Amino acid sequence: MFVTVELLKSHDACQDQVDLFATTFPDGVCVTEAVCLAVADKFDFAWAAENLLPPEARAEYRAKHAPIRAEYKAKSAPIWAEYQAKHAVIWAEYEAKRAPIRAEYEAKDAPILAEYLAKRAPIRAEYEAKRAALFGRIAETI
Amino acid sequence: MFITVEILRSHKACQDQVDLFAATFPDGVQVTEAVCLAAADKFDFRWAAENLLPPEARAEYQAKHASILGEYRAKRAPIWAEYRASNAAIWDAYGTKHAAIWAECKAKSAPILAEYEAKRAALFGRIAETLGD
Repeated sequence: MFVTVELLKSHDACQDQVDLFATTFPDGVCVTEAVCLAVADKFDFAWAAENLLPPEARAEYRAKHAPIRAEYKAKSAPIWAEYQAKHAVIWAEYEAKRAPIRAEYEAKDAPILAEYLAKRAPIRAEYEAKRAALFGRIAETI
Repeated sequence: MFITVEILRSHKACQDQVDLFAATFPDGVQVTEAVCLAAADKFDFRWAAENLLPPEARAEYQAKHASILGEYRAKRAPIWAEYRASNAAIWDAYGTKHAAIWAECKAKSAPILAEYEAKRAALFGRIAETLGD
């Protein structure tokens, strides 16, 4: 599979990725595993898999390569699941550390917020009354 | 303008408001300024104006509402500023503490994200190799 800037543009790739590709592979590139690995953190391979794997004759290609797409999806699923599982541990640790900090903030903010809401209440009520009255006056004419 | 539960449903009002309307006006209601004022804090008049008024009346509402909203925001602005000023120190303290644990979280996530991206890229490459030019 040979990929060029023109091919990316013809598939409506986002401008950032087109610019990056043009800088990295000004003459295009023959896609291999080694090439992809070298730019793993630079290009959006999820987009590439969904948009570049089908050839120009899209309908024919999709029929012919449906098993390949299915293979990609099937094989990428456990990779994603593995990442999710590892990330969940880190996220749980983050949430556990964040909770007391947030609670401390909310406890200190509570009286300040309550004072703000108390001061806002009559202004808000006045606004809601004016809004309701406006609706009523206009609806009366209908 | 006469409003009924059926009209609200036909305009896809949310269930809470439909239920409240049915309980408050089981036989429907002829809309007047007095009726609306009595229910000013109960019903969503923004939604009502956008969904129940015909186009010309809606345009009139929007035009007149703009000044009411502007007046409300102008009155609210100084007390909001006062709140933000009072809250600034504890908000900044929270932000500082949060930044540290967020940076730690991102640092720990980075290698597993890189590992995931490498595996995904390699998989794409292996499959692409089988396609030819």
